[in-house]
Amino acid sequence: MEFGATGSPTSVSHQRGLQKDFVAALADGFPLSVSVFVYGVAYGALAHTTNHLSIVQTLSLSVFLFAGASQFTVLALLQQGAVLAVIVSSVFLLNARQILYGLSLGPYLRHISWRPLVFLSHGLTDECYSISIVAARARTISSWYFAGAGCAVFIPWFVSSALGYLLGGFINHPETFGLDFAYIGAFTGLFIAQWTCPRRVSAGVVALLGAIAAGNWYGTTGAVLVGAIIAFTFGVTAPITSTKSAEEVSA
Amino acid sequence: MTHGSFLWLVALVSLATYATRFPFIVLGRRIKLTPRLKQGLDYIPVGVFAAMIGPAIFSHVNPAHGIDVAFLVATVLAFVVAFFTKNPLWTMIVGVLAAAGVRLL
Repeated sequence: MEFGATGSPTSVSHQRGLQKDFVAALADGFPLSVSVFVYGVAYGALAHTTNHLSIVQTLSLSVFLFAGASQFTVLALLQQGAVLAVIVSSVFLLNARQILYGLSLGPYLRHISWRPLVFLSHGLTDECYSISIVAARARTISSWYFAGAGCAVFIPWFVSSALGYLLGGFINHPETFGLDFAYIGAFTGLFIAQWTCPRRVSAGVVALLGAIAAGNWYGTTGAVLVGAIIAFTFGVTAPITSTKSAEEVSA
Repeated sequence: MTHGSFLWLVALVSLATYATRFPFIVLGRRIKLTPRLKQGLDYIPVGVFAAMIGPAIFSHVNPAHGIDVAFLVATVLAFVVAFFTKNPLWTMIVGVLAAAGVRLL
């Protein structure tokens, strides 16, 4: 089903279609919501027990910063007594990979006005990007879909941050329940679903090796940049195929 | 850290992060793409997803630091399930159960 995003009259059925799009994003994002939830409990518990932040401070980072790895980094740096400038620049570098997400997803969002994006772009995370780009490559996504992808991450992140804070030290060993694997499991599924032709398999395998090497020295941002550059190189050097790409999908 | 300075901290880290979000989505909407460039961008997700899992798997299954057997089993099973189902939810469920199962044994 395709949803026109602009220009259509706001009829009841159109409204329902958009709401369906929102729910579809929540459903598509569900595995990632689960892994975000697990991660958020750990964040909340850590903020409470190690950093002794108040619940308002803990949740204000989840709402306004809204970036998992960055929030853990803020906690670690506060613990080490780092100065403000170091914390802010570390967070910026850590999130520099989102620049790439914006540039990659942007071409599929041409039909959406910039006004809702002022707010909705705040929802752009690793997971939101993943949910949205998979859908956008298959069909035109509405601003409601993008909003749903953001909420599929924001809601579990906020709730689990609070829950983790309240539970404090009770959940010391999530790995006993295999929960440390939730994140990798969900992304492994997304990763392999991209293996739609031999060239994409090669791109994936080489990117995986490159990301491991880069992650070793430069962390997550290094891994994402190297992985993306490798995959991009496989893409631009491939013979041009007639698969739907950004321009046609959003036209 | 005092309440006032924590407020500044939240404001500045949030702004620094927002600066990596909104401006580049808007910029991405304006980029004029050639078919070749489009195809390159089309391959980026596979690289990003590889980066989400590669270093994380390697940190658990690194011969130099000891191999987490439960994690290794979970990873192999997850790849198999992902390959046959192409479904992230099943992949995650099987992986988590495998990791928990091996650790309980």
